[in-house]
Amino acid sequence: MDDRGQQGREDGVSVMIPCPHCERRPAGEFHFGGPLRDRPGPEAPTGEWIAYTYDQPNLRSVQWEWWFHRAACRQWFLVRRDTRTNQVLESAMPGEVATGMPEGEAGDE
Amino acid sequence: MSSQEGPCTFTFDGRSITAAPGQTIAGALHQAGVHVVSRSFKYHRARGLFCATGRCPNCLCTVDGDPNVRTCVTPARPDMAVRSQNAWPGLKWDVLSIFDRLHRFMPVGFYYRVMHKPRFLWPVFEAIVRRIAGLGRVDRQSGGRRRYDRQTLHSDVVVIGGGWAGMHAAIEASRGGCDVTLVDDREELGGHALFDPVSWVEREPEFLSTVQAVVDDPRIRVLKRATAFGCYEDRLVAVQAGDRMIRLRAGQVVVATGGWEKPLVFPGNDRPGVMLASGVQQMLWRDGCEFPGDVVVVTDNPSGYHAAHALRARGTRVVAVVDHNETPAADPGDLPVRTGQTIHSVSGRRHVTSAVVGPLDAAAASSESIRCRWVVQAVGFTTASGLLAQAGCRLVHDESRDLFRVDRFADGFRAAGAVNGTFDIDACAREGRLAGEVAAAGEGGGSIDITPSETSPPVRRPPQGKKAFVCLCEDVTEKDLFDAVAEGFSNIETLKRYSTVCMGPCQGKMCQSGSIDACARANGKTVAETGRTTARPPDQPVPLGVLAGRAPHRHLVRRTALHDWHTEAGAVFLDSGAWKRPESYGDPSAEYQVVREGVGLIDVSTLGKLELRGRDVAEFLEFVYPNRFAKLKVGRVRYGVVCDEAGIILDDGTIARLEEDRWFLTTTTGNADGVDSWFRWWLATRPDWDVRLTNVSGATAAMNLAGPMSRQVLSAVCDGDLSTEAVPYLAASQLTVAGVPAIVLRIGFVGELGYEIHVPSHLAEHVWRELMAAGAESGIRPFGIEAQRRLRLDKQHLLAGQDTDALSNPFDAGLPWIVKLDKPDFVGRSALQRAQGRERGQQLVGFRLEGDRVPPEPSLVLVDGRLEGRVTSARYSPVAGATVGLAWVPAESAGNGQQITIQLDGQLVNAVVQREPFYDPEGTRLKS
Repeated sequence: MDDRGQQGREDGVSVMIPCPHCERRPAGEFHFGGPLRDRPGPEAPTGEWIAYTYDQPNLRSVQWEWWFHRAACRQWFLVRRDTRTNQVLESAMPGEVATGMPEGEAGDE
Repeated sequence: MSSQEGPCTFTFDGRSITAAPGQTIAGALHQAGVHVVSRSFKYHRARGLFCATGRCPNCLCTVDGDPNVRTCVTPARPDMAVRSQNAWPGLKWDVLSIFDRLHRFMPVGFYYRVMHKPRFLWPVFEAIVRRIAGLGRVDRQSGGRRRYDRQTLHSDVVVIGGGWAGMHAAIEASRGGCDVTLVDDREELGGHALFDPVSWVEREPEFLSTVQAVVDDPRIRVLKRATAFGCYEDRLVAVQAGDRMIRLRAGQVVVATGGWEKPLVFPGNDRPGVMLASGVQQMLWRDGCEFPGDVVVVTDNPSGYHAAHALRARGTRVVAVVDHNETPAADPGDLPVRTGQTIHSVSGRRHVTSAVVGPLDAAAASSESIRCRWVVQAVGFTTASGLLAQAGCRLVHDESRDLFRVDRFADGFRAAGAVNGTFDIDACAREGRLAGEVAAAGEGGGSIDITPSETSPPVRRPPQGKKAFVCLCEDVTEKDLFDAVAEGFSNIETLKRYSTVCMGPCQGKMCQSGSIDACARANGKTVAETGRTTARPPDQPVPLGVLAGRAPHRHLVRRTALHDWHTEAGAVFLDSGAWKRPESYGDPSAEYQVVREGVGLIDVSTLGKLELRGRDVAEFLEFVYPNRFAKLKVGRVRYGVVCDEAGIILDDGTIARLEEDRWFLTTTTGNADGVDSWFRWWLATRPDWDVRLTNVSGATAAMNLAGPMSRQVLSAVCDGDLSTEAVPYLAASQLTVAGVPAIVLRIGFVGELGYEIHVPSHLAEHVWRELMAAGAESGIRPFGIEAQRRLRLDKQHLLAGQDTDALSNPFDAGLPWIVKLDKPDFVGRSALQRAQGRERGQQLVGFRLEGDRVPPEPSLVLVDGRLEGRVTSARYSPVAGATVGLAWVPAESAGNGQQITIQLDGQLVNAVVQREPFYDPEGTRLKS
């Protein structure tokens, strides 16, 4: 979660991320926050909590995911990305997107 | 052509060489009669100039300590020290050329099999192999002096390749209103045109005016001597320009990288004197070189004839033009042409002495040996399509021209000229203009039709015999490839990995067509079925220094608002993340003592500081901290630990309620940005919460006035009532300090009466000076981090990140009281619920070690010789009269008074667990 050692991370990937506040900027300015997921309720079964906490879905699909523009506006927003092609399709403000199943089946090409 | 005035002199292996103005190193060597320039990678065979266009490995030398310099494209400069590589004792007589006789025992991949048995000997073999095979050595001395830089550029349109097609593309894109960057790796624009005067003789004015139009266009930025070596996602083009790496972000990319002449594969094809026609042309026209003696030209297209004419004009005797075609590919004039024939082999060790030519079907009887010094081959081009392939364009094999070309472009990409398989001068210009126009419109990408041309496919030569090199870089012969396919490495990708073909310095530029061809024949398949290996960056070798590059803007240094004061006071600084913090002002022990007995002042501006306002802040804090805040009274501050969903401690800090709906939080120095981001994420997931978060870390400076006399010092500069009744322990007050509005938190990290004073950064130095002045009579001293660490350790106050790690939850870290599992929901509740009461491996405890020996972090905690824990902090404590510290120890040893064993300087020493502070366990001094 912390930003230590991330100052110089401009070389990892070269995709451009469309920040709703700052427009298209190199991905190195951002911090990836994982796919948009529903947090289990407090009374959810332990198994559900364990899955939520420790299992990263890492799906081959088009998904909404969290991005944080750490080097500029420092705002979180959502990006729709195809994890198979790494193509960034669009971005949205939090609240504009409902969580739910990602589009496209895992494993389809 | 060159800025140089007259001839210059440099040395090659100690020998003095004179270079004409504008000559490359290789050109000067050639002219001086040096025809063996290097020794090959594996067999140490003599090698001479081959491609002379900066692709093949033959001309690699060490220049002024830089290994693997391509001397055929590097201009000679006065007093350069050029040394040959991979030869001992020297180029002319290399001891290890014995390997050339032993090649039978060194088949492809032999070291994988031979040298791993027995396995423990591999490191020995490896050391030997590394010494005798390979390329130049890195000169650590000169390497350390070099400075590599990086630069970021943006352009609407990037054109890669400054040849005829590329120049037209640039001009057209500029005409379309775009900013254009033209990247070319040569000294001069013009590409192949510069070296084929026969084709260009009537077009010289047109050529010159085109170059001038590019140079004069203010919208075209020309990067000469710059190599585009990678195309990354979203059109990031990586360019090496000398010692600088340019990250070039393009709106659209036009690739006009041309092609590389394909070498033929025949026995002895690597001997000095065998060259590519394009290289010979370059050396004739750029370097003014001569090729004395007789030459045999092998060709299947007009460029061979052009080369023959050009050589003859410089005094070379053309003894044969061997044309694969039944009818000459160009007007032969009076050249001695042999149609329907090819070259079968050459003889000569350190230089070609003769060539065997004959019919294509290789009927040995009808072959003829011709005495010659030079063999020049011109049998077509491979498209330089590596960058296109990297970018994700789809390449297909064009049977009619025997080359790979794009049939579907990646988004934003276009290609023009020879890289498309287009060699006609007018067609190249047309394609260039079209690509420029498409790029200017932002419409790159899409599929194009590949209409099969009318021409019949080039004549294929039959397979060859021994010592026919496909790969000059790695000394891979055609036979090696056939053997590897027979062993089962039949796929082009596995063949590459096993044989290392295409993996040397040329990165497949010389050997790709030959290796695909060999693979296809060995498998009985077509070239299209065989396909090609995946193209990856770098397309052309790049020095590691260029990739590592200096990026000063990335090495942030943060200084607090009080930095200048610290410097004047003689502070010894310490790097704490990006921050410079005073470790001490020279005497940490005295600084420690003054806080315990009098009063000290420390700069804690590096703390993260967040201000939260809104109706729902209390609810938000209840959610992101495991402890309770809803009932925290206005004017009070509370310690808190931030946990993640797995219950792991992320950070700790204080939470003050300044007003009903206004809160002030601090975080640790290192996690300031992280906690800010973490909180913002939870806020983003709950847009319904009325919480506004402002990061005031930079806007606010902070200092901690601590020690039994701190109240009287603060009173001198503060009008308010500071009595314990008015400002008790854990009070959060808004006071005026030295005339400045301040948030004053009565907290005691160091274990004494103390005030953490937060003021606007621009007024920090004023407040600091006033406090120092007010404390002068009390003997106030500034103290640094070292003293603070000792002071807090007396109290067993942990440092998140120092004493905790990615497995530490509050239960194990000795903070069970902070977790309120009866709250309905908070981050980490589920995990902490599971962790509670569970017998965990280790607990964080205080320990006391008699004497003054201090175990360094992280010394090991051992139980019966087993590693069972570690020391996270330890210092000598004057108040305890012993060394004290914090350590993770097994749960069964974590009880108060239990003994633990610590490894210190290789010895085992016993320490005693102490579960309460070493100093003032009741906290009376804090609360006084």
